[in-house]
Amino acid sequence: MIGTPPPPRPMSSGHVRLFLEGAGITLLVSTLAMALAIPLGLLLSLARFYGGPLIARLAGAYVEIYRGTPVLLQLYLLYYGLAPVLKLGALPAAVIGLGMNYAAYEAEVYRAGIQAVPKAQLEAALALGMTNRLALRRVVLPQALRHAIPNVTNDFIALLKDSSLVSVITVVELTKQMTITAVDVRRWIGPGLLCAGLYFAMSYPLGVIARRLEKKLEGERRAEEAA
Amino acid sequence: VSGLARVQAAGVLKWGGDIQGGEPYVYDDPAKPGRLVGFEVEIANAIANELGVRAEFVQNDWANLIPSLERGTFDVVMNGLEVTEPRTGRVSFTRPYYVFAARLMARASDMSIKSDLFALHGKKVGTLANSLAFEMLRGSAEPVVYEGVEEPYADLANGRTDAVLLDDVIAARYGRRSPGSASSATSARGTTRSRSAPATPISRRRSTAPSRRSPPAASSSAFSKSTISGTSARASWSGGRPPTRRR
Repeated sequence: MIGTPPPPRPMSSGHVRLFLEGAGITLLVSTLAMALAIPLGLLLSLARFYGGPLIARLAGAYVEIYRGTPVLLQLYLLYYGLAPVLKLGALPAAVIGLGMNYAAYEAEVYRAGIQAVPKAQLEAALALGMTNRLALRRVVLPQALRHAIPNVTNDFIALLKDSSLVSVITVVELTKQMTITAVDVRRWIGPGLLCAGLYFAMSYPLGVIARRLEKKLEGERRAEEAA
Repeated sequence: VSGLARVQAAGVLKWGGDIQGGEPYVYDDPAKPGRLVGFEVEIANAIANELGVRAEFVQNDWANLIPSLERGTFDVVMNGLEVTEPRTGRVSFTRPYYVFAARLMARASDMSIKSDLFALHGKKVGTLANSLAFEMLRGSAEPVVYEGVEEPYADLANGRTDAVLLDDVIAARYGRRSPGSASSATSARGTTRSRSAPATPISRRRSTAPSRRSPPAASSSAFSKSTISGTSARASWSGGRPPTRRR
């Protein structure tokens, strides 16, 4: 009844195309998740500094809970656990799940950035008659965000790789495509190396950008100190 | 709204399965990756034809097919899903379209593994997460759970486990390790019989739990009406119409 199965076929250009499609999904999910994590993280860090005791505490709890539990668990709960009340599609669930998780990390990055701006600057701005909000927007945040850029880039590189987790909620991204093909062709090395190459092709340019930004930042800081 | 009305209104029958290690059920056409082939593809297309809709495959990890079915990711699961007691309480099955046997495999050189599940006490036995084989192993062997069907055999050949219990069709496709290769050869030690059938979520009323042979509950009558038995008998093993694939 079962018969002799045909011998597995080697990888073909058709597989490479599927891998490229998977890489496209990886990039899409990661970019959209980061686009959610950055503003949400900024909001959280501002809430922790200037939100008043209650909101600051809530924002702090958000950060600790999201950092303290596995993103895989968060994805399962978002996709399956909340399904009776919130039926998200797979792709939106992936973006929201990763984005909300990374927002916690971004919040910490911005917090460090804000703290790196000397307090005297805010005091000086207030002394010049700026409102708190204006001083924040014109003096503190531009510098804080500049400090944060290299870390945000690093997080984006990490997110690119963490996005492989969303295959558990039915999104076929690069790593899932690799496992599907590896089992089909009965080889893990070839598909694995192709998959690794594609991740590297996505993350290496980001790493270069991060290093360049860091250098530029270092130069500006030195120039500021010299002035 | 009944499941049938929903499917016909949408014009699409979404069916869930896992193409990772999906031979010969549903998998990428080796000649044209991205196009799906397999006998379940043909059954799905036949059912869809009968309903006057188009079949659309939705990729989902095998271990989570039922949770995804319940949350409505797709209308029906068809992926060698075994008819088991716990599952008939959660979803309704149509008549079985496929009869398989669980096959115990061990390294050819290892004579300590006998054709007896109860003699596996303390042995590490690889299997698929949430499968019937996994249920069969609980209480006797020490199950080692995998998300895929090829990895258990690789670990068996490499000596990380003592045996593998999985469906015979899977063993035939993925369990072969030639004696000439770097890993050791594997051989079959015993088989049991079981069935698998398409499943649909139990909506509204939880009617009498469908037994293995009785017609499925009202919510899935649409699928039984397309007579799985008749369609599956007609479905040839030739490749069929290329299905669409949601990614």
